[in-house]
Amino acid sequence: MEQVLQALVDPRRRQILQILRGGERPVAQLAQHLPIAQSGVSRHLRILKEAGLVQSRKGGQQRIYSLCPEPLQRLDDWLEQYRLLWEDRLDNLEAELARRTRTETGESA
Amino acid sequence: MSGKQVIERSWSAPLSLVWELWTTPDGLESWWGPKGFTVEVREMDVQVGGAFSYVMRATDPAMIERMKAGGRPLEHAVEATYTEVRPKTRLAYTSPWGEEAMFTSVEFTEVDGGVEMVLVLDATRPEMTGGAAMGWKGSLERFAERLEA
Repeated sequence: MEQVLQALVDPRRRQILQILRGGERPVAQLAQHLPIAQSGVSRHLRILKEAGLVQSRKGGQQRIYSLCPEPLQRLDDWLEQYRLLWEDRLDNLEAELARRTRTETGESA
Repeated sequence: MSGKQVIERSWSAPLSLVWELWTTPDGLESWWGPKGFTVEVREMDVQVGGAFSYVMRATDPAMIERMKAGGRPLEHAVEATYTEVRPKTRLAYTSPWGEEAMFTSVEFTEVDGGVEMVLVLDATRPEMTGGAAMGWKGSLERFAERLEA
């Protein structure tokens, strides 16, 4: 998971994943969407591949990259648990705000 | 995008009260603990770089029973650090507690008759890499355990 996280920290790599959500792309085509050289795109793709976030296949002259959704799904599942904890907490906060607002305005609870 | 969660809420309560409940020990303790837990604030130095630490303790008998049965400690300490403080507007902290790591920010906007809140949980911020990001696997399992309890 650390490796996935490290890979996602870079905004350019997040951008690459975003583009790949639309389907597989060769490196050259990815580079057209990004303000960096193709060598830079290749470097980012290598990091994404090491983190298991993308995979590649040979397609004629160059490699074609596609998204591997599993690590992202695991990450989101984890965050979903954390969100549920917060929903629970915010329900408490809402009740407490209601209680204190009533008290402050002098109405009975 | 992955790695991020956004929660929005709105309340018909004064902004000053909302801020107080987020930034004073008494205020926070009144709501922070999830069901079956209470929270005791140890440090709350609401300024950038200031400490935010507390102990979360299982208090509900049924919860204590479940924690014991699962071989889990009845309390755990959280040590976070405030990274952004804009009075009555925005609060953010990083919490590399134990094996868990998260960047949490909350923003308040005063609207007619109340307050709108946007909470962001972000696990992919640069400040969460390195030491704070270690042990992610452990945190995943622990969170899942907590919520299944």
